[in-house]
Order: sequence, then C-alpha cells, then structure tokens
Amino acid sequence: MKNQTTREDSSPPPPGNGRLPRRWTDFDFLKPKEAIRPRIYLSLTTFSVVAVLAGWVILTYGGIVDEMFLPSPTAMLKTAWHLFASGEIYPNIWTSLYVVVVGFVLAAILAVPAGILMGSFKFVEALIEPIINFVRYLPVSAMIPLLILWIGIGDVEKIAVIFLGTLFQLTFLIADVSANVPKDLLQVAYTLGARKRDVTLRVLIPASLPGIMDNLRITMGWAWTYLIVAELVSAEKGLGYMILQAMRGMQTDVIFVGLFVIGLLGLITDQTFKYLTIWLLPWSEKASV
Amino acid sequence: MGEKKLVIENVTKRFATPKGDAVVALENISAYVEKSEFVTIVGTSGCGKSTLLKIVAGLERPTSGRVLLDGRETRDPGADRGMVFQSYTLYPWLTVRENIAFGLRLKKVSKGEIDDIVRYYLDKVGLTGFDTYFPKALSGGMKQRVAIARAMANNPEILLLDEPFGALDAQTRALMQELLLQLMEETRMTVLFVTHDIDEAIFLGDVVYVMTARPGRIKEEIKVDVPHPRSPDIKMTPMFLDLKKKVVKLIREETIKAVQQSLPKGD
Repeated sequence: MKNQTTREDSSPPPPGNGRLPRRWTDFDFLKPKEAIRPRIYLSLTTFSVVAVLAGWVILTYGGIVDEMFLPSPTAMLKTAWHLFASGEIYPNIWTSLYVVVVGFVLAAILAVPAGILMGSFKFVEALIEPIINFVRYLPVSAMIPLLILWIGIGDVEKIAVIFLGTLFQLTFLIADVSANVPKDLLQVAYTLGARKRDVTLRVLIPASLPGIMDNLRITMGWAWTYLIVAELVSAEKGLGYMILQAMRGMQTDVIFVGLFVIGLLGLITDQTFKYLTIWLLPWSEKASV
Repeated sequence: MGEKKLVIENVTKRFATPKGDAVVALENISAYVEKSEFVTIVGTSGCGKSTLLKIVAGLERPTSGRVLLDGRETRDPGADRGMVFQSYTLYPWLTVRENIAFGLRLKKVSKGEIDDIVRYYLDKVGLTGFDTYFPKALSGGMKQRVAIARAMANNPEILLLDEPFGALDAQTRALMQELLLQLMEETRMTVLFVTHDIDEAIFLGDVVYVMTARPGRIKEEIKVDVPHPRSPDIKMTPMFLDLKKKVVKLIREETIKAVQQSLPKGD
C-alpha cells in the first residue's frame, strides 16, 4: 500500500499508466459488475425503449407487416379507447381481478401459517412435506380438466385453479423462509427469559415477515399466469376470455390491448406489494424505495 | 476468596457427526467464576469454547457433568444467564429501545420502570438518542453495544459473551473492550467471556482459562493480577507482555495440534 507519488526515491510509474485506453478490452463497461456513468445508463435505457417503438412504427406504418397481424400504434390506441370508453372491458378486468385476488388470498391464508410451521417444527415437516413436494410438481394447468369436471366452468373453478396453483408453492417457499430464521435469534430470546410460545410469537413470526412478503409478491405473479391459462381453457368473462374471443374474430388489436392491460395489472399488484413492505415492515432491509 | 457464582463441573460433550463418527467436543471441563469476577476463556477455533458457553447458558445439554449457578444446578436457559452472541442478534423489527426492553417486557416490568432501565443502559453504552432507531441503521459496534445493554437490562446473575467483538474491525473492537471493562467495573457484574483473541482475554480477564484443541480441555488457568480500573496502556507493560507470551505459546501448541488433527489420516 505504498503511495508511490510521495516517495522521493520512487521508481517511475509502470508503463501504460495515464494513457488513453487503446484496445476495446480497456473499456470499463466490459468489466463485470462495474458501474457505468448514469448518463450512459439512461441513454441505453431510452435507446432500447425507443428502438422497440420505432420498430413497431416502421413495421406497421411502413406496410411491412399486415395490419391483421400487428396493428399500428394508432389503431391500438383507438381500440383501447373504444374498449374503455364503451365500458366493454371493465367486466373482464373485474372478473379476472376478483378471481386472482380471492384465489390468492385464500391460498395465502392457509400457506402462511402452514409454511411457518413446516419450516420450524420438525413434526409438521414430517407430516406435510412429502405431500407438498409431490403436489407442487404437478402443473396446475394439468388439473384444470379435473377441476372443470368437479366444479364446472364458473368463477369458482378459476378460483380453485389459482388456489391450488399457489397454495403448495407458497407453503414450500414460506417453509424455507421460516427454516432460515437464524437460530441465534431464537436462542438469545431464551437467554432473555422467553418461553417456547414467546419465541414462536415474538421472534420466529416477525423474523419471517419480510421473506413472506417477498414470496407473496413472487407467487402473485404466477397467479396471473394460472388465471389466464384457466380462462383460455374455459370462461365466460375475463381478460383471458377476451383475448381468446379476439383471436376468433382476428382482432389482433384487442389481443394487444388485453396483453397490455394484464401487464399493467401485474405491475400494479407488484408495486402494491413493494409499498406494503415499506409501509408495514419499515424495519426490513428490503423496505427501500 | 469470594463466593463461587458459577461452577462448571466435569462437563463433557460428545456428539455424532452426520456420518456417525463420535466427536468429543469437550472433555471433563471444570472451571468456576467468582462473584463480580471477569473470567475469559481463550482457545483456538473449533476447540469447543462456544459449545461450553452454550451449555452454561442452557442452550445445549452436556453429555455428562453439570453447571451450577449459586449452588443450584441449571439445565434450561433462563433470564439469570444473559448472553451476547458473536452474530448480530438484535431483533430487526424492534427499535433500539424495544430491543433493550425485550426481556423486561417478558418479565412484565412496569412501563415506567422499563423506561428508566432503558434510559440508564442506553446512557451506559453511549447510545442516548438512538432509542427509536431500527437496528438496520446501526453500525456493527453499535449493534453489539445494544446487545450488551439488552442482556444487562435484564439484570442477570451472570453475563455470558461469545466472541461478541469477533465481527468488528480492530479499532472498534479495542474501544468496545474498554467500554465493556468500564461497564463491568462500574456494575460489578459477573462475566464469562469466550474469545480466540489473546490480547482481549488478558486485558479483560481477572482469570484466563486456556483451552486445548479438540477435545476441549482446560490447559491452564492464569490469574491476571492487574488491578482495576484498567487502562488500555497496560497492554504495553512488561507484565502484560509476559502473560501474553505465555498464552501465545500455549495456544500455538494447540493450534499446531488442531491443524495436524484436521489433516487426513494414513499415508
């Protein structure tokens, strides 16, 4: 750690020092994990968004791709305006949202306590882990036919798809969170006079909360996927249904609007979880904007 | 001589590795801590010194032998043996104040009294004004100061510390040692302190137990005849350096032994 420049008898700096980079490998943006200048970062982000939009504009207005397969930006905006202004799209949004939220909340109500218990109490783990590990590898989409036979094609069937699709995954993920609560946190509670009950209620559960929130957020994303799959198979309403109908009528513009709305709803739910974490768990390392 | 506050009596700890081999972690350990005494245990890593402390805390059971506190055998953990860990064990969802109050709340101490105790210990560890901070906003040294305050606020019979400054940088560690020593000189609390840092063991300890490599045994008991209050300057005195030389030699032998043990056997 010698500071070469302040030593009188220092040897000359090694060759190459202070020279401009000459070869392409000298540039820092090729160094893994190295930060780049914010201005460059922003330019690159803007570039990629603009490139996609420009590609869209060129392909459609340039007449390269048939309007039937890829609607132009104006056509899409017009369709979106029509769908929202006429109110045609709202029942579909409402149905999808309702099914996702109900199915997901029901799964969470069961999975959160089951996961905490499974991760921290060996007897619960022994009881339910084998079943969960089997069922969680069954794709819920494969169960849709069975669910239709059992329940029919109404909202309840779709709620069941979301419920079953997320319940086992969520239980498993939350079990992992609870199993990874450092044992020292529990042990120190005992040395402060806590009993088993206190350790569970006052340490284990609060310590698991940030991880639980994280996994709810991730699983919510999957819930949207399951919903659309279920609606594509059979539905009378909903965004997936709307997309399927649009396919039959060759209305690609409606399909794109549907996709865009699904993406937007996913983004909103994701952000909701992010802000819930900041609001409910301000102490968590994950609670940062 | 003072009364024996904590007695460790012929404690042996054996456990089986996942492969099924039996490992003797601790062999026939006997030691004691007098009332208001600061006892340190120093040993190489893996010698079982943390296991010993956990047995004293009641967090682990000895295979044989027993631990007596004030003449009574202890088996389960309890508020009479407060502990500070090497890892940061503050509860991240509680503020500094709530962390320190954790044990007091369990004991159902009245709110006014809790406030007084928390204020007292915050002042003692030099963190007045930080009461509403969450642990994530604190540095490592500050976290350990709160952890010490939390253990002391419970007013335990003995304070157990398991390498509490092990994760801190050298400068912070030196300051923390002085702070802890000063606290103990003031409160006359009984302390059992485990470390691998020889300087730390001698500077803090009235008595230093040197442990052998696995299986952990007490190799030597060394009395540190330096009066309190101790200033950090004593680390430079010939007497301190003589003691240090002695302990370094003992530990070195054990470290070499430990390294040889860890090498694969056979040819």
